[in-house]
Amino acid sequence: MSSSTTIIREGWAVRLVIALALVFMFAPVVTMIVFSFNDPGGRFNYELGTFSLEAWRSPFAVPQLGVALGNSLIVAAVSAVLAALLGTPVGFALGRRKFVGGGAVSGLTFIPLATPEVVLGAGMLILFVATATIPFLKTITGGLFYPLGFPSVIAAHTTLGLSFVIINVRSRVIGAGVTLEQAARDLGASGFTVFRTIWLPIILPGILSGALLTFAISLDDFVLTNFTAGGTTMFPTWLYGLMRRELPPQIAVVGTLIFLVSLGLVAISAKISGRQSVN
Amino acid sequence: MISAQDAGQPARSPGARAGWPEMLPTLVWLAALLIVPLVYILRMSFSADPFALTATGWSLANYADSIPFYWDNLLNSVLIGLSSTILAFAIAMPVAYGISFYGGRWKAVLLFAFFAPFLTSYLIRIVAWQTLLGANGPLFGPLQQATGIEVRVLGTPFAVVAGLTYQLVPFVLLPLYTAFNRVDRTLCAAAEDLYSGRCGRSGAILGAAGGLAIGLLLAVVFFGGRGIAAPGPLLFVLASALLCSAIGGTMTERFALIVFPLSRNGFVAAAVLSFIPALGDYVNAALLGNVRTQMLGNVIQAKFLVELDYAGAAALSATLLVAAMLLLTLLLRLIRGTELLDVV
Repeated sequence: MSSSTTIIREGWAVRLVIALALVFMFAPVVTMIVFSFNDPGGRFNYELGTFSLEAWRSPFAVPQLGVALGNSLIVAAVSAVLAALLGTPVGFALGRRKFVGGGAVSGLTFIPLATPEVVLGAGMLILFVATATIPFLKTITGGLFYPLGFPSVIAAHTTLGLSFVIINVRSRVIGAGVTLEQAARDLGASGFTVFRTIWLPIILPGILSGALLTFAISLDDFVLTNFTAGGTTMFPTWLYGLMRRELPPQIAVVGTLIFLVSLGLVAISAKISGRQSVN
Repeated sequence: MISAQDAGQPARSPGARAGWPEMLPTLVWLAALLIVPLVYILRMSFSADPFALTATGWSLANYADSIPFYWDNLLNSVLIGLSSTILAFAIAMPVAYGISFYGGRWKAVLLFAFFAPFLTSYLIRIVAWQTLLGANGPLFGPLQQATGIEVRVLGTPFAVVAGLTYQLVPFVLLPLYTAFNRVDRTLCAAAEDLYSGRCGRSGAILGAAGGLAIGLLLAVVFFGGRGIAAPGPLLFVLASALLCSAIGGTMTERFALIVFPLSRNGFVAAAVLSFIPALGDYVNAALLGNVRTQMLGNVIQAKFLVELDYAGAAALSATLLVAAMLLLTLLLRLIRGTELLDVV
């Protein structure tokens, strides 16, 4: 009897912490949404003025905002596709069996997660600069990465996203499909048929969630973008520059829009993977 | 609910090929864009000509010049990074435990709720913190009008720690939640049958010691090393010790003696995924802090992108990189026998 009351009290304590933590987590989001309806009366949207729908009526009235957001969306989409293409074979191999060198490949996958982003960005920056100054590198890259621009940002974001695709695909493969694969092979299925009919349906949700995560990280990322975008107008770095001069309420509107669209995407992907787990 | 996959060794296809040819493009990509840049940073840090864009010659001068000069920034990175990591654990640990053990059918929704705020832009989240913590913002503006007290939080170390803690919570929450979920519930039931209760005196003593250490660290960060010997900071340290002592004393033995030891890998992963990004962060310090809260990342960023002192910046980056790698090796020793990617 005494132990069960103990458990109940612990339950209420953690519920209280969860409630307080949710307030902490959502305070900035609520602030952002409230300030998107604000007319600060000055150049900086930091203090509550009067209620206004003006920013919502013309969210792209700020010069360059549309360009910056568009560029960031393009980079995010390309990086997500590249990361999915490059990450899937490695995640699949790592999940399927243990092999000599597998530990080293895992370690390689872990490096982006365990390196301060500023160091990664700095390293990529000096590498891209070197591809323009060292003749040998200039020949093999064809000057693609310098001057900095879309190719360099996409290369950086793909490298970061790759790890997430690998981890997601690997965890889908582990412990799944082995008996099915053996059955299919016993019945004479070729390697490709086995992959297409057995493994692909298993790993597809992993590929999709990894690609979605890469998209979100790319759109979100400031540090790597700051180091590798050069003069290209990307949303986070453009905003960082803008904030010194002005902070129009349109920024809060765009933030709210990104939030709502992402929520919708997550809901859709949850529905897809939910339907698959039912089948 | 424990599935066979969680309980035992995962089944693998024994006959499958490793698949090196399929992996080759990815491995080349990672070698070129991950290994080469990091090695090149190390090489650049020994370059003799500080303002050349490519490494030339060999010298130790970059380290000798930059580390003593930016010692305060290095210290800020470690202290602010550590404080934020500890606070993120303080928030995420009970949350992960609560969702895993008391979430019921709301588990997925609750877990998602903690990640939803991160669906908007990183920089816009920091802008929102700037707004919230501003002296005339929605929190402190009305307070000042009502009481006449002006609260200055923006531009202090406290604001940097708050902003960074906020960014780190999900990185701590996810590994801990995964680890807590894998804990065998029958062990918890067995503990209950054996009358497990609260940690009592030993928990209170351990909690007090931990609270004292954390309180001292936070006091040094918030009030500065010299400002700590004042009534306010000392009271803060005392309050931290008392609070942690109370939490330690009333903590259930189920958590302290079963869930916590069985989740070691989750704690290691959470520590790696939170402290290392915290060490290198500079945007929070730049936008929420002041001149004295600037971290090593701020210096590296300025040297690379503004001053074009590549060799000096590389020396500081290499220091950060080596520190992160040492920490990683140390933590990974704790999870030996487990596959690296299983803990993330």
